[in-house]
Amino acid sequence: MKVMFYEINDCEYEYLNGRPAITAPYCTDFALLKKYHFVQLIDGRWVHYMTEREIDNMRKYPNGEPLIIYDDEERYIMPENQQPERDSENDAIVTIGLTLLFLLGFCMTTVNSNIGSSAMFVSFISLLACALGLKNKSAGVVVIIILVGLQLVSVILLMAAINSCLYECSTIG
Amino acid sequence: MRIHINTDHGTISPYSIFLMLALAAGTAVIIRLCIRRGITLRKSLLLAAMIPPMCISCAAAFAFLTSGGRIFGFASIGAAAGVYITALLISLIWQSPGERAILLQNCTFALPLMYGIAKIGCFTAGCCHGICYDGLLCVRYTGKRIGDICVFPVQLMESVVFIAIFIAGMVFLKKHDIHSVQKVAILSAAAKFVLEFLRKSHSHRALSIEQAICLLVTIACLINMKKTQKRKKVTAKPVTQ
Repeated sequence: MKVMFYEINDCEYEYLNGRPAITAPYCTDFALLKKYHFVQLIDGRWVHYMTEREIDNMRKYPNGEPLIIYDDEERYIMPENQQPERDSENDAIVTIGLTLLFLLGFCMTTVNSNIGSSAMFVSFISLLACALGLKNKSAGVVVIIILVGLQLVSVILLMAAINSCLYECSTIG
Repeated sequence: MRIHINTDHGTISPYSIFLMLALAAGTAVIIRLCIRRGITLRKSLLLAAMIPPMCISCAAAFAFLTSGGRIFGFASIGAAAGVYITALLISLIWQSPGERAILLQNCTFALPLMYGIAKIGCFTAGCCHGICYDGLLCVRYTGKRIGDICVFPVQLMESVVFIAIFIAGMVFLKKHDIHSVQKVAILSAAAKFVLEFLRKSHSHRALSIEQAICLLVTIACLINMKKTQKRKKVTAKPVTQ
């Protein structure tokens, strides 16, 4: 099936890795490919994995005609059972609450390590669940910050002990 | 011709410097490949920020676990696992399963370079040294920690081989070889498997854990290559309701 994807003509529709995708023709401008979030496969082809909205639009399209995808609200026919978009304000409030819980737990470790670390653990798991299960991007960002922060602390501690650890580093490689 | 290395270093050991260089080089390669292949700069930088700490932590954890809690060091297989875990985590958090394969592929291309540079650090520290050897290019290590030994320069050999594998991987990628990832993985696993026999630590073992993992990786890649060759391009599969 031929697809006209925004400014990129003569794209092809394909089913790649279990997902519908649009392949750009060779020699398409790199700036256009980046603009419309195409990624390059190992064989050199540039593909755009279709969003749910684009897939829904394709389902309503007459077979045999070239599919045209462009940014026109009237063009898209919303499916009847479309899920409502997530409330970003609620997501932000949940994320801020869980982050504060994490920070509170961190402070409490100085007083009672069990309660403090439990609070940190619960808040981290909740943030991870929000990020993965509920597609809460702000929670995802906080999870990454926590992971990077924890790892950086570990790296600093490890670097401080590298000279002494060389005495033990004899067999593993 | 003999190489002499005194392992008694000052405050900053060359081992640390080369370890950091390896991480920096590998991360730079991954960022460059990600941007060239269409991954946004934001995601690429996020990946780059997470790779060094995850790499070091997993390397230390793997060494600790496989030695039964006796040895504190860094294991290359653990470092590789850390890099892949980071790529998986990024794709999960950003809800981009389509980009997961690309992130994992780019990590595979960069890992031989990271390993090659890190092995130079091991060479300067006398870490993971080779079997006893007194021939051409033997390395004489001296120092309070290691004593006085003459060994085979297995770390140097690994460094040269893996940097060559990295260059080969870049050539395969430039030519858009569909099996480039599998080829890099198989070459790396095979090189690691063979060179492990030249290490002193392998003297009393038939097969190490690292070699077993290398065998599994090789077999998995060969099966994957076979499947890729058999798979036919599916064109215009209609999206049905």
